[in-house]
Amino acid sequence: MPVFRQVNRALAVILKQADTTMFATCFYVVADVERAQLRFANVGHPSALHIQHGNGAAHKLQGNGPPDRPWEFSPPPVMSRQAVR
Amino acid sequence: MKKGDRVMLFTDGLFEVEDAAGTLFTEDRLHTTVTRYAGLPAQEFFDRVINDVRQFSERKSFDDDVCVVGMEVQHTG
Repeated sequence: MPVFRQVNRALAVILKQADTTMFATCFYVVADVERAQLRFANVGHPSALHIQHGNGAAHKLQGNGPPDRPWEFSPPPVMSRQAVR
Repeated sequence: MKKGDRVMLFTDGLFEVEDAAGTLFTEDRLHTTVTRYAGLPAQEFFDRVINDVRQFSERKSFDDDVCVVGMEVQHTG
């Protein structure tokens, strides 16, 4: 089962039982050192920064797509993902 | 990604900090701070960034909980 679906289901159980408003965010990163790629999914976090060696330029890691599964939360969180080379 | 590149993950508590006049540090100001210290070694870089935000705050501390995760590419391939 995809990681985010598992996390979502586990969190939904907790949040439904909570008697107060709770906030949860998640940033999931897969670092592929062989291909020098970073794949990530961002759920409710500020954009991460990619800081380039040498010139020191910093760029926001911004996603390029919505989640592919419906969320059990209401309203659904915004999720995005992108591969960075 | 290339050798020496860094990735910085952080919660909004890192930049949602107010000074004595009620001015927010903001994500844009954090971006500027990160760029300023980008040439420093990783540990010093993160220490300087976090310290700048703390110094901006009226109480010299963070108003919200903060989580910062930094990664640096050591090698590729």
